[in-house]
Amino acid sequence: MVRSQTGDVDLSRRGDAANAIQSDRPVSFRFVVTLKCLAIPLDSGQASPEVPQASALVERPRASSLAVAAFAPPEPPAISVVVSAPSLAPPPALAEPSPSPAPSAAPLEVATAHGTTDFMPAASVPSSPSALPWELAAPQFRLDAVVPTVLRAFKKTTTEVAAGSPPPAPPQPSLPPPVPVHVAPVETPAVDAEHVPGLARVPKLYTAAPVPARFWKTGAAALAAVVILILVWRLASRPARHEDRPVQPKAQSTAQSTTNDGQTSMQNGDWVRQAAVGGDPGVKQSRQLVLYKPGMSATNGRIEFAWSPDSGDVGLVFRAKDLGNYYGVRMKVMNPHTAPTLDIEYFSVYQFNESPHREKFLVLPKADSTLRVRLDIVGPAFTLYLQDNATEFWTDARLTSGGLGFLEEWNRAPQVNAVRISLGQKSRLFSRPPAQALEFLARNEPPVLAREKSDALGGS
Amino acid sequence: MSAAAVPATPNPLEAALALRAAGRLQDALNALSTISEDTSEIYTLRAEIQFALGRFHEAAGSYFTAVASEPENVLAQFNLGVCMQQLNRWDDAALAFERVLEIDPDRDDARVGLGACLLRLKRPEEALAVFDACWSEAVRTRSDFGKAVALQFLRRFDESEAAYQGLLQSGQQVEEVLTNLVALSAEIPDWEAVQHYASRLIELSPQCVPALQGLAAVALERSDFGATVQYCGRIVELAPDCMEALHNLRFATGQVMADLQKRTATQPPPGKIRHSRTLPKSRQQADRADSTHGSGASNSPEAQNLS
Repeated sequence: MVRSQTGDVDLSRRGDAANAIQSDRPVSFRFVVTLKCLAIPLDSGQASPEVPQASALVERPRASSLAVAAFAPPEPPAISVVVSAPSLAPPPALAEPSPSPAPSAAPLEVATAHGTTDFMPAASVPSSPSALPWELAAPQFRLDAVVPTVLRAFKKTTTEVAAGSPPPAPPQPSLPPPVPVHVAPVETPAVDAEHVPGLARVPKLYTAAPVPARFWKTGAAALAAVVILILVWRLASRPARHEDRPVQPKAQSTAQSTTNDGQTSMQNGDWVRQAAVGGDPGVKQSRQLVLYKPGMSATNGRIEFAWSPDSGDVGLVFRAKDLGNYYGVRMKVMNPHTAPTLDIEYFSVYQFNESPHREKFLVLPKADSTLRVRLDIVGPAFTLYLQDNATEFWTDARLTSGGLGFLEEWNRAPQVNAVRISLGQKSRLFSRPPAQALEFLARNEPPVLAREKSDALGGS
Repeated sequence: MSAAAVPATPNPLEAALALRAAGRLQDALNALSTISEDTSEIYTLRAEIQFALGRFHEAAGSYFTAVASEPENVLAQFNLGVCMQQLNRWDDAALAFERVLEIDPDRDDARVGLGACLLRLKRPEEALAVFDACWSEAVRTRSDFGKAVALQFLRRFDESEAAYQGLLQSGQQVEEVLTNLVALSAEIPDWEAVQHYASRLIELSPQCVPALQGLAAVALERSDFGATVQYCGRIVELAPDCMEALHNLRFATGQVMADLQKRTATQPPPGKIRHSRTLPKSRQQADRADSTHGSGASNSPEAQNLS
């Protein structure tokens, strides 16, 4: 790789040109097609752009009300495109021997094939960081029943999270000293209370084997499992809406009345989105936490969903007290078509410090279009299941409670279906008077409680 | 300088605005960080400051958050596109500008941005359509320029040159237009045109590398190695990383030296040189022209100016 005056010129991909550079034949110049004057400046919201006559009465979108003081943004960078010149004529062969090697009689090689255009960044443009796919769609998770659309940025982290929950950071006095994070082999997926400090104090909810009956036997007595994302009544009334199709994101205010099936719950505020801001870990990734609001102070729980790896990386967040304290898991499938490999990456953000990311690679036998993902959070032990098989198990006792949900970076919006969250604490449902709870169950028939699969809930 | 130096304002937002107006961008950003409220407007303001500080990545994130919470915010959407351009994320920038145009189809500046992105994405046909759709006088020059570039990429050289000529006649963006005309002419190739445009360009901007490249290419094409040496030497001075110029400089120097050696070998003894002065003037001129043609003392006027 050599550098030209305008940026990187990879001559290795032009064998003849590279040879020409190294030989004693002249080479053609690579001429710049500049697009500099197409660069557009930042809109400060003060200019009053022209309006065509036909649409002069159209109300123009408002500009930021804060853009009151003029300032000069930096000049946009030059944009340049490089084109190649055609072959140069061969120099005349010298009759006499010369001190320099005799020029070749062959036509001069050009740097690129004639007429091709090659795009390269201008030197003044900062080099692009790693290619992170940006989804410019309003953030969404695709659900069958509920679409967690953008509600709004949190007014303040602590006010949202701390409602009804203790202030962050103080460790539970009942718990032993913090256990250093360690990764156990995949083959030991079961959450064993005897081997995990602090776990004995919490009810054993899950085991490695995905046995729903056992779960209900052991957990229902101690913990109230709540199926969230229930919009059964709407879905039951209009079953045609359950078809498996992408849902367009609609970032609307929570106060807006809902007309779309399956979004009522979201727009009533079941999910909250919190974007990383300056000073927060994850700000460089523009990380956003999408948390299930009723589970903001959950201690134990489970989140399961069906993930389409083709749609992009998926991230989970749990024990989220605020933007500076949470655990995260991120999964992505590499080489999906040749040798599908799942990259599981998990990390913690504790007291606004993000830990190094631990990674585990898992070769998948085949490229499944959908992966069933489940994460059990029980005390300080966390177990990740893929296709109902325990895949990763790790512990961390620093955060004992907090919100549960999804993690987005650069708003990558993967397709996530059949989201089901169970919270290991008393829910509103079970805290109601029994009559009300029964009435609620009778009316809505949560399939999980009824041990039925349901399309409305994803019914994985 | 700290924010305390600013007249006390109870509202941190006002303080941030005042600091920004005073050019104290980092202080303004710090003042904004004290605001607990995270509205779309705050994000937008933060993004503007981050952009002004050259922190495009962060600015993009802020605009993105503003857009996420308020998708109809066309200002944030537009500026997100600008940030994406700064980050060379042409796909994303194009998407952002498309969103802007969905919300407000009248925004020609977004159309120009979209067209530029499409050109970078090697989609000149779409870019041409986008530039064609521009309607406002405010972006007339830029849209015409974009059209000319799109046509150039589509190898519709005649139309492209005509479009460039129109811009030249209007006196707009002359330097950029000439630069592109040099590239266009070299692609055809039309060395006379390259010579013409490059000469004009170098008059406007004596240190313009594309102009020197054009002149050097013409000199090389004409086997005027003396001029080639001078142009390439100049390019190497201005753009030391230009490998083509370095190589051609070495090559042309070799040619000049070889010719000198040849001339030295065939030159008469010193005594006869005096006798040559008696040659007719026309013969001397012919000899001079012949010698300069192959030996480096170029007869190119641009090269003589340079030397």
